[in-house]
Amino acid sequence: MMSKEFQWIGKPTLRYDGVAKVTGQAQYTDDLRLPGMLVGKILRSPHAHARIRSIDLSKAEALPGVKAVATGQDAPVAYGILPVSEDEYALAVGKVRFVGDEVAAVAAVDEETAVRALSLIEVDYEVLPAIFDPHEAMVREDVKIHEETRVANIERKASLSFGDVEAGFAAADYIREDSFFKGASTHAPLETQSALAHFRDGKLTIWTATQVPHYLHRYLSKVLGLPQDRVRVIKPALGGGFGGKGEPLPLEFAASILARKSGRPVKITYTREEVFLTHRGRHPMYMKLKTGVKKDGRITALHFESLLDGGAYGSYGVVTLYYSGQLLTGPYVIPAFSFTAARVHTNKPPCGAQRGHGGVQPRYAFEVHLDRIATDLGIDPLEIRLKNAVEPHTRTVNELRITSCGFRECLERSAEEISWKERKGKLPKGRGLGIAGGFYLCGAGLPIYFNPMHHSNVRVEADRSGRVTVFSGASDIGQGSDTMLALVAAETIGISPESVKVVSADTDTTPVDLGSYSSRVTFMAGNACHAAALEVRNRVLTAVAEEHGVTIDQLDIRPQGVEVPGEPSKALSFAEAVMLAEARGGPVCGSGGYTPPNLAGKYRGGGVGPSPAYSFGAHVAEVEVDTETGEVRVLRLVAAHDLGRALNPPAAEGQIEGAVVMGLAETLLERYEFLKTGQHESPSLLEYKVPTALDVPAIEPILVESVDPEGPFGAKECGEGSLHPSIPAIVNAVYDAVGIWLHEAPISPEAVLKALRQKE
Amino acid sequence: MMVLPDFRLMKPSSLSEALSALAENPAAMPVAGGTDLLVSMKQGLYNPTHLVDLKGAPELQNIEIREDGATLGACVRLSQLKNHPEIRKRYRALSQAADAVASPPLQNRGTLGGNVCLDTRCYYYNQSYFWRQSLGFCLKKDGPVCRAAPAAKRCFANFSADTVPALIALGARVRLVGAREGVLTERELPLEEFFIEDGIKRNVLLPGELVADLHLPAAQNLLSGYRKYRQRGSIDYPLVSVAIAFKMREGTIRDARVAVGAMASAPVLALETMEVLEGALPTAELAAKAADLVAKRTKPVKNQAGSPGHRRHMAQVMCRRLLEELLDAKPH
Amino acid sequence: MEVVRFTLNGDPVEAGVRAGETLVQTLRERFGLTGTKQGCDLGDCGACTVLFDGEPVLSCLVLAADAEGHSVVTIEGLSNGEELHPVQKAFLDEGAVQCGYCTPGMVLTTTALLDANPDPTEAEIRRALSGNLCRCTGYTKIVRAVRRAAEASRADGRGGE
Repeated sequence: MMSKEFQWIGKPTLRYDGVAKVTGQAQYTDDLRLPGMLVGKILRSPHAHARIRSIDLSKAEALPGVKAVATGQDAPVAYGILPVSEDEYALAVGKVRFVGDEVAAVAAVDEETAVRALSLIEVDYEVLPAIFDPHEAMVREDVKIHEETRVANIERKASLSFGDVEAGFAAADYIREDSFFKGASTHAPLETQSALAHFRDGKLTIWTATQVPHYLHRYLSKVLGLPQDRVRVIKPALGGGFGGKGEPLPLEFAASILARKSGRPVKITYTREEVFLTHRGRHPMYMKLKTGVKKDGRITALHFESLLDGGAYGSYGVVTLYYSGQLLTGPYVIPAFSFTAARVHTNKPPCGAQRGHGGVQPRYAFEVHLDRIATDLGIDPLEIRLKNAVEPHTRTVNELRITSCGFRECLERSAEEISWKERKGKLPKGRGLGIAGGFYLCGAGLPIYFNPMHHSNVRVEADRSGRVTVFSGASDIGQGSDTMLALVAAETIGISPESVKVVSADTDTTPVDLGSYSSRVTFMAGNACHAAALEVRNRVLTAVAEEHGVTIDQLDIRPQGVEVPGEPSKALSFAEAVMLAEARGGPVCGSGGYTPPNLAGKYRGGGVGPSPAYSFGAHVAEVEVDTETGEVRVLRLVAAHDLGRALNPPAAEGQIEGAVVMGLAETLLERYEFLKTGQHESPSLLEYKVPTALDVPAIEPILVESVDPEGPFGAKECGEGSLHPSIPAIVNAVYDAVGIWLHEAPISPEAVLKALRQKE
Repeated sequence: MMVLPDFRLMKPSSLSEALSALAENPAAMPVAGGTDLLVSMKQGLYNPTHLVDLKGAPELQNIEIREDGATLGACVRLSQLKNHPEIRKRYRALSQAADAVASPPLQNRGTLGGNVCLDTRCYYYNQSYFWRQSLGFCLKKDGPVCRAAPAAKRCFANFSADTVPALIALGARVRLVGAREGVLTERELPLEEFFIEDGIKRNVLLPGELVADLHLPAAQNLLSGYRKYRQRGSIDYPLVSVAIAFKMREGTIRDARVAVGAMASAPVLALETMEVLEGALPTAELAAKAADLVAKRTKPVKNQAGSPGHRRHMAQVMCRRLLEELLDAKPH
Repeated sequence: MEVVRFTLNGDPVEAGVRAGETLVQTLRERFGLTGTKQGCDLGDCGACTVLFDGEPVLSCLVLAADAEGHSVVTIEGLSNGEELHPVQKAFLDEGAVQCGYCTPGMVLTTTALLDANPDPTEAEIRRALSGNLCRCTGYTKIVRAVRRAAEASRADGRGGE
């Protein structure tokens, strides 16, 4: 890419939507109101597993103020974010599979009437035995949560092997086996899901808090039986996603169905409890690892097994299943690797993708396992990581293409920042240091549904005012993708980011982008935006060059305009330059697209894991353990992250800081668990312990820039991979502090005390 | 959004008007800050016909600190308590406890009286109507059985107010007022006698009766403190809490009072601990010896995060640490 | 319906409210001040924080009728036309805003903190913000923004004595 010094990249750029957000002007979905708007509410199953014999809507329909009532029969079309597991309905058809499963929906003139109407819907259930334990789900043939599963309640199994695993273990001087469990956590964005649907002239418009407008667009069309050109999805300002808004959700269908039935706009906003029940968060995962190493700590082979508790529906689960193994082949060189994994259904809310999707649980397990190996062999945890660190421009044993890689630098700089060499092993009792690494993809190499088109498309337009507008389907969910697009367009063209307007996430006006998931937006939409902006730049410069009889390479665009070499009086403002271009060739538009190179491995499952680039990271945690109470306090957490290049450093740091705290929280505080009868234990922000400002230290991010050859201006992801190492870094630090290994997370003070007692 | 059930809001401007309003409407409830009651109402736990707002009654707003004691009105807000320099100096346990209630914005609304009358809590109870209906309800509200202790015949919901253990340790008395057949009633009792070890009944308040104010004895030579165990540094209710107050006279501990919260359906006076402390010299072993007995009279069940055993253990640890801290400190 | 009169962002206002109406509903639905967010409706998250007589309170647990005679300030009432309040500016400049859903509550809580304590320590800042959850930032930049606002206010002679 351009070698000249950047004007904006690498310097702080204010958020595109920052002023709107600090002044309260930003409009989120629940802030929108339309004339005649109704309130929609969803009736949920009180049973964990039941057959619906009948639903009597008559009393609800008769209640004054009720304008529409819907059940699964209004749209009995199966959907699911993955084409391989389309097992959900807008509202239940025939069966309910968890406490909270959607049964029916009403639209009424106000909230009170809607709530009242729900209580008047009579559902006759035949209660069925329910399964909550994934091990039981593996073998129970008498209870089928989905009739389609062939063996018990196993949704999917995966088994892959790379390299000569047997020989790898045979060559090992030391082999260690460990088991781990990582419990569930959930996204808990501050904004609850909200959708406002309006059906007019045969066309559906929906404003909704979604990370994936395009996928929702497709599924609304399918489920509602509407041609795609009759559906419009608009994402207003969005109050946090983290994966929880990363797939079509029942309220989006329910609001649409109710709007169609009532002929009036219908808004459904989830209560906080409903957000917990909707879930799609981190899979509980049981994991076994077996690793062979040489005496010096070099890894010779790894075998991994995982059991995923998927909850009631497929969601992203098949991808999670493959990721659980596929993302273990870095950031260390693993010469031989095999894994087997299974995802089962249970009668709990569906698990799906949460920040760091798929890699978080195995990363926790592997990094603690690696520390145990290092400890067994008397090798320093930093040394064993450096010794095995993956190098740039290599391939992993499962054919993942590694290009830019700053992993070694991440390890060294995070260790240096905390004075690892000077302080490790010399801290007072109860204090400890722990290190862990990680890596993550910059977007999935394949789209969710097969198609040969670009994953990201961007149009850039310059107009006579000198303003540049970026049109992109990318969904800003708070991570700042609109700002990133403005910045990339500005840097590419040469104008200031303030002169760039961003129109995004509206399926009627913006070109398709697959959405905000798998850390793909900066890399893919950024590249598409760069290509589109470059076209605009070239159009403008070509016009100026022709006008003044110079060549393009003699010209440059700066915020103050375009200078003509040797002729200062002929300098143009950018607006004037655009006018020249427009006069010559019509509207000054550029379009760009991005498709990742085809890197899929030539094996079943080989499509899950490949990415055009990988981010790397290493975290060092310093903790204090109160051996009397079992409480663990994180005093410092240094997070070095190789993000290729920091386009906007404060935004990148913010992503890392937030990810680390989310990791810390699911290590020490957050529990997403159920009663034996299937009710959620803590469906509130009182009992689900999202950390407060008092529960976390100031996070210390370090931006490592390996400059990716294919990323936009060299950038890679930083919002998800930066969660992975935090969990094991803390757990490893606890060992360093008090000599206990914790193979289950989240960690409770009681578990710490129990482990301390067992050690004695 | 969660809907509040229908009710009529009454805004009396004096205590006697408030008492009449409560007497005339048997299904009315008093409200002050509303930070707990409105949550419970949104969850369908209470459906009063009327809410009688006490904030307009000037008699309940009193903060009076004298050499011989203090009077604190029921409608004094928790943030007033925590920020009051004299309370911080004289009745440190109370100031610390007020600061430990929920979170700062709730302390700006929540009141002392509201905290003293706080409903008992349990994770089978403090849930939405949908959730409770799904489980089949519980003894405390609409159901046949205590979900936390199904074999028992009573409700074990947990006593969860922060200020109360502190007030009890400080020797507070509570003044209750009511109106019966047009006649004003008034009674005063030691705060520990206000509570009943029953998650449903909770306290001795009669229908239409209110907590008017709390009275604290003189603070000379008093040392006191409050500790709360919770998962986060803010927002959370206590899983265990311990309050201690005593005086140092001639090098020995006098008038020691130790109260434990969140370990039963009522606050618990740790009589055994108090006995060990009374008249004792502040030796190195004393704190541990006294703290070992602190959970003796508690009855935690599994209705909060953390096992009962762990909560007992934490009561001992916190009691000992607080004692050590106080024995090191200088009295007011 | 009952008529409630109060001062809203400096202006005298009145509105007819239901007994069971919370202040956040009145602000959002009757006055269109949607800058006040709802994250949980049960007092657990702080998104609905407004200033009530200058102090942060959670408007999901305040009855609208309780506003009678009081002063309420929402995020919309903080900036002076186009000019941002120093706290808003600090949050913007420091990169303390991501999804923005906690931001109105955080900004208002910070404003009240700095009014009462123009030079808070990090511990005091964290304590004051501990009723406002943020899921995006990990609080690092928010705490820094509060410090930056404190410095700016002191340099400006605002907020201090």
